[in-house]
Amino acid sequence: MPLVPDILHATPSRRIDLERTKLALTLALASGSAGGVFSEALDTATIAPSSFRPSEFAEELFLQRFVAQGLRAKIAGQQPVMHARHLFRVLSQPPADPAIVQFRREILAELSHSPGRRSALERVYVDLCKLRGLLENPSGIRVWDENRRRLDILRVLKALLDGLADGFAGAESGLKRLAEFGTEVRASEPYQALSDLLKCDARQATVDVRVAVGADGSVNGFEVLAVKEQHDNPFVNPVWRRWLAKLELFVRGYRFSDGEILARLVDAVVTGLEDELASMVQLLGDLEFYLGALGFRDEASAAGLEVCLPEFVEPSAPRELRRLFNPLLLVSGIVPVPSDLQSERLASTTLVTGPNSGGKTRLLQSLGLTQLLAQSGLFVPAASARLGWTSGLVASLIEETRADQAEGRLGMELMRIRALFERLQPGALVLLDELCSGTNPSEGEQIFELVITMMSQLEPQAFITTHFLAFANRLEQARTIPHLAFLQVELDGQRRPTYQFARGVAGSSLAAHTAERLGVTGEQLSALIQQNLRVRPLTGAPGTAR
Amino acid sequence: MPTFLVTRKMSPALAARVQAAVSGRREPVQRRSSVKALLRLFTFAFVVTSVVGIVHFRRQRAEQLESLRRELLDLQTREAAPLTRADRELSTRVTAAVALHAAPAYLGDEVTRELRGEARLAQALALPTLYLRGPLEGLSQPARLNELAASSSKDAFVLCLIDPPETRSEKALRLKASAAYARGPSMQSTAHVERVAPLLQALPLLARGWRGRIEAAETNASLRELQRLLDAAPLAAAVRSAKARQLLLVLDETSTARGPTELDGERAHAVRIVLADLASGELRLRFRHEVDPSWLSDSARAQYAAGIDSCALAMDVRKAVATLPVRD
Repeated sequence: MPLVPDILHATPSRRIDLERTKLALTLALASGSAGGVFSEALDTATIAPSSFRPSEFAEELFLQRFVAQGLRAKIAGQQPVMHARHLFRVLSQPPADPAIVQFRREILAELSHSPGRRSALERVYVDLCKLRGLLENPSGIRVWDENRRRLDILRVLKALLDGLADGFAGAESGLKRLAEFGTEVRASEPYQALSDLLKCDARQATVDVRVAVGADGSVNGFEVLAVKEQHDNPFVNPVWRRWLAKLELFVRGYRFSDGEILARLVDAVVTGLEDELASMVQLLGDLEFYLGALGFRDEASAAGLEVCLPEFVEPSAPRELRRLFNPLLLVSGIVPVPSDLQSERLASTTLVTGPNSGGKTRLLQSLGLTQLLAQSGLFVPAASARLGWTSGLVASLIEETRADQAEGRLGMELMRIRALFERLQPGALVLLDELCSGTNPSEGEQIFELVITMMSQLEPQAFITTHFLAFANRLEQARTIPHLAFLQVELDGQRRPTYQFARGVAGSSLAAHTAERLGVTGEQLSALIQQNLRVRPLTGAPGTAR
Repeated sequence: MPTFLVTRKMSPALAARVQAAVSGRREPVQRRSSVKALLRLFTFAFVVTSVVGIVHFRRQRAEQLESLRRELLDLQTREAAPLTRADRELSTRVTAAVALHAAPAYLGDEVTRELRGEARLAQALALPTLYLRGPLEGLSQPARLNELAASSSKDAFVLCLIDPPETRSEKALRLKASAAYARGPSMQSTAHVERVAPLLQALPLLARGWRGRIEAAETNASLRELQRLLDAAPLAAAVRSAKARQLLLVLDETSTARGPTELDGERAHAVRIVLADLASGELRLRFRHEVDPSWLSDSARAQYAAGIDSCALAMDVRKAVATLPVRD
């Protein structure tokens, strides 16, 4: 079975629909335009089995935005348009098989440590983009010379195959699969035919000319010394035979032209390389995965931040994240403040307390994206990380009031809890923002306690933010729920959040500080009322007589 | 059916793909395509035959065209061979001389010293000469030169100037006039005198510009038109005219006399005679004299008034040169 240049999975597989893609490519070659061949194939490509369900976290973590803005490659100053939907699918469904993650990590590590390999990968990607452009003709510009376009496609395909064979020779990670693929194809008959056809197109014949130049530099004449044809090239035919071939093609229903001969030969060559050409579609998606990760690392590095390939440890081992930062802030153009995070045990429930706008929700986003990136085999937004393998991710960070919601705020809260338990798998990462904030504190605390008590049976890695400070304090004192940990937002001397997290429960949510910062003190509100009264004095209701 | 696109150097796999690229169709389509192929073959044969026919026809036409062109160019080359550069410029000189001497104002009689005397005049008149006679009023307009030159021919004046009658009697003059009208053998003495018309009409056909037109002609029709013009043109006379050394110009002034006009149009009027050297442009003779047919008998006047007057005028010129003021 021929090799598949799959660098996303430890066991190579053809994930795109081969027959459909081949048909689409054949049409693209014939018609001169087939917008979306690559997108369509990648969008429907299968991915490795995953226990993650994107609906449980993707929207909450703004994953689509992170993929679009964070996983971007920059090659020679250009930012090629990547297939964000494919990247989103791969990232939102991390493989269940750790071997795949390890396979990807090795590739990424090799690309990180070997600039030569990265350059080779970028060159191949640039060629793939050229191939995509030639096949899809996205600008819709009319192609005047179809044969020239097809030959250009073949030329780029050859460059790609050569780039794979030469650029990754000696690779140690899964990248060696590219070299093996390239070498195997280069040794095949269809590649030889491709090479011969391109040689025939480039120089079917060579003419040695001697040019006579006069005293004033003008060309006074020339003399043909020799004319050599590539007699050993299988595509070179004598003139009379070419003429007969044209006649034959005409009789067979084709046009009577040299171009028609070339078109038939190009078809014959392409037919032999259909599988390889289709493989390039899948390879484009694979390359974007790694180039996106490298682009993310470059962007972090430019902002003075570090990323790493995390270490996976047992759930009972402590969690360690050094200089963890929020990647969503980074891709939004804000330099995030990194923080260190440690906990005694990965499989634990951590209650995060602290002032409003202290970075609690940002911390949950960071943890969620870190887990996703780690289990996808990519860099995580931290200088170093020790993480546990999770079976899934459930995030509940945004609770917007919707016009069509059936229940009030408490009802929605309870439905949210119910849904959480419906989908929660043992050992999953759970991220909950301000659980039970929609009802009065005493009743909310009861539900809260119920939730974390019951949830502990599934041994999740849970992070829950709350403003029930007294309740959190009581739990910390009581220690009745196993593996319960507490983190609080650190404050500086002026009681402002430092966006760092320390053990313990916060003493206050500093709502007054936040209110003052946002202009919601008694004095500030009174001033606003007085200002409004000056502009519009109190009058009766509309229509009331004075 | 094997295809010509397959070469022996191709691997079997490639050859099979090339074959498939050329003929990879299903059976039912094959049958339909056979009919289509046959139609195409016929179409091809028709097109080839038509193209060959058209090419052959065009080649024949082109050969005919070139043959005719060569013929015309040869004719022109042959006819123009005796012409020197000065000969080719003669028509310009004649036009200029006519324009100069046909000015309305008369500048007086004069003769060069070399021509003073009848014998000397006769000697000068033996040189190749162009002769032009016409109304002064018309010849003073360069635009009418061609038209008037065409109607000017050798007449009794030329004959009598070169070969005068022995007496100035009516009978003698009448005989000469009659001979001139009849273009009889006695006109042989004026063989070295040529008309101006062939020079003006046909000499351009021997010029380089005309050769260019022959070379540039793209169709048989245009070449045939050029051939027709060449055939009709008095090329030999033009070449002879171009060899002339002097211009004999006779200018009939408008008559102011009240007397009757004769049947041939003759009536009393003044005539200017000019003999000019065409090479140097020098005036050799200028003479003005009145002619009047009233002294002639009725019978002579009715038939030969103009001829007799012309002959008498010629005799007067020959006689007058001895007494005319000498031009220094």
